[in-house]
Amino acid sequence: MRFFNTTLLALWLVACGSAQAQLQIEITQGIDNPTPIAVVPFAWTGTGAAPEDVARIVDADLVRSGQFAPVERRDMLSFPSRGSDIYFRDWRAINSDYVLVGRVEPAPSSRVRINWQLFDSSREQEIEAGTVEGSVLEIRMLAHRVADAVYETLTGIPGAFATRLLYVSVTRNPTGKDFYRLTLADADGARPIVLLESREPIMAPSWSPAGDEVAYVSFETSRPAIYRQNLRTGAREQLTNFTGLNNSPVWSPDGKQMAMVLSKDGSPDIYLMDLSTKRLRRLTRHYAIDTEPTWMPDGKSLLFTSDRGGRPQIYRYDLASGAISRVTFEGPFNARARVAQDGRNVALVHQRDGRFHIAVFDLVTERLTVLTSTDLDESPTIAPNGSIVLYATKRGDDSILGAVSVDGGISFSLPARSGSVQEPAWSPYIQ
Amino acid sequence: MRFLTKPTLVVGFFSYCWGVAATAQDYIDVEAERAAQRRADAVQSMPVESPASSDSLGETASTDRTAGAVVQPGIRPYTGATTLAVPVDDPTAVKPSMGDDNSLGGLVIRIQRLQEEIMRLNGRVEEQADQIRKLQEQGLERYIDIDRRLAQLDAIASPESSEDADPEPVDETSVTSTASSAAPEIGEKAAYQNAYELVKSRSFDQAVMAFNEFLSTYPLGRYAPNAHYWLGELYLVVTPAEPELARQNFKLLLDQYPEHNKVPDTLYKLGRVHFLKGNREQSRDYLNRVIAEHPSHPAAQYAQDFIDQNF
Repeated sequence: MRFFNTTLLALWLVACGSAQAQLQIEITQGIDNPTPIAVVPFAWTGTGAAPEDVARIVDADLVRSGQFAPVERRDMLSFPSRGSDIYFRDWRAINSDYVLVGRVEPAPSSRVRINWQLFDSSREQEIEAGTVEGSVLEIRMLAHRVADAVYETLTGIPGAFATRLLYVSVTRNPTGKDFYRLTLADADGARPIVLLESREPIMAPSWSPAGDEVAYVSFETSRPAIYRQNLRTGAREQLTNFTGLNNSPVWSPDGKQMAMVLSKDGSPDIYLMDLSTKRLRRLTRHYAIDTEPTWMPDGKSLLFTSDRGGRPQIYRYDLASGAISRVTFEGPFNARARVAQDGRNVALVHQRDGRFHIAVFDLVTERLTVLTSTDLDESPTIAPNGSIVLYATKRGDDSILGAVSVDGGISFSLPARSGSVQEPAWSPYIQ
Repeated sequence: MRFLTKPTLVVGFFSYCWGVAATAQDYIDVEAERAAQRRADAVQSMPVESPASSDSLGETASTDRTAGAVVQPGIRPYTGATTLAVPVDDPTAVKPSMGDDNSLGGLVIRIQRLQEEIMRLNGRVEEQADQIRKLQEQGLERYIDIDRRLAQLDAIASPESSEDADPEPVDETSVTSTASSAAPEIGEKAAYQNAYELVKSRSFDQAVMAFNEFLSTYPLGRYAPNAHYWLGELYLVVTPAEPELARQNFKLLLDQYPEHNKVPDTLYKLGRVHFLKGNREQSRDYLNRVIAEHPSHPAAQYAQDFIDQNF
């Protein structure tokens, strides 16, 4: 197999031609009594073929949440696109609790508008309706936004379907160096885009709070350095190039600073970089390993992993006082924390009986709940609505992405068609 | 980055110790070599992390203990005069080679050992401080609990109507009042009463089924809001609890019957359900709504208490 001579190909917003980075979704466990909802094919009022099967996308989103059961199209007795066309008896007959209908219509300057209405079929009432509009190129995102609204109406929790994932896909090369691709995809795994391709490792991708920039560690200069990359312009900036470790870049919630791990002064410690002046401030100063920082949503403190107590545990660093306090006490190993937007649930890697699981630690009740039964689970990341934890785990020789709801009730996996996927990072809500 | 303990350092320390011991053995006899071999086996069979976690006095003591544990002069049978003077068997013979090693390498290793020792002690102090904190909290909780029970005893001794800790949901008066205010629908009322009796007899699972059946038969019935309220309550007490279904029923009641007399309680319950589900923001919103919209209703006081205790 021939590879490119250059070790690095920065491909900006070139849709990945090969489908190998594309993720598929396999639901492994849902709730016991998912709510049946019929997502009727949306009517396309423009000319020619519809640009996308919007209803199919909405349906797949809702089913993937594990809380809804699909109603197959072949079971539908009619395909209404407006509330006035619905015969509720037909939908009750096929045990559909809710009916979602909608219309996709073209708008000026290659935009589309989606009108949707959600009905309760036993009550024969409209529960919610809405309109989303955007570029026809973003029609999948518009469909996800419809799913978000329906999900919120029926569950009370905002949906997180119209979000994106960042992950590193690795293609093993038995005869030489592996191929690393920093990949951006929709939260359902569709539309993968390669942001960076390299023969050297790419690690620790993370999102800016506005979702318009990413940071990561690349070994393209043969040693680790931290980069930031703008998703709109493609502009890329190298932030660090120190001897030793340059790792775990994470944006502060206000977007002005970045916490990172550097070992330039000895053992790995947590540093804070002011992104406008590039000035560094050293937060921890300890001969133990301090690593894997993550911000509390209020930006007033950071959680990080340290073995200053002899074993890796989660600690909290208070930015105002500089005080460090230990957070986790259960078990010999708790590491790689990520905090949900509620500032309460912390997803982390927890060791139990020698196996590495994903667990959620509740900062208020101080209760730790193990969510996964697989081994070697790592790199948890939480959906912006706090409902799902995505993580990397092993299946055979490959690593795949697994997902589990914060209450442990729903799980699904997102294996790549080939190769390995690791270090997922779930985007914030994108404006 | 996957976090690892430091096996390389531990292994390095051991090979270092072993090197020192080996040079001291140049002149010893077969028996001593055998003892040394046993010692090596013992070292290898030790768990990797044990040197970092079992010794508390630094490397001198650790070497002493290792030698002493394997070669116990008092117990070992006497096998010949020569073996008694074997340096490796004598803790004092090994000690100088370790303790007096002031070479840079020796100091570096000693500092590393001390650092690991401090880290381990730090960990222990942190854990004990946490245990003390939890014990203090438990002590306070126990005190409050006993205090509450004593207060209840007092209340029984001097009977006065004290308010129930949990708001009683749909009471029969509210049901009968809604029923009597309209033309009676015999079948619906009977079905509702039937389900309600199941609640009173604490057959919660059957009550859930009965109310669901009631709602599918009379989705727009007079008692539908009450049935939703009961379902919300029931889904919280069945095993396993179904907070999501409870939430849906409370929410439905709130959305479809905003004027119903159970709305204040429903808001309070929604606050609690969201808290259970970990949605602190929404929980807080609902609790605040009870206080703001129904300040004189008992649910407002429950909501305030709940906020005080949990936020």
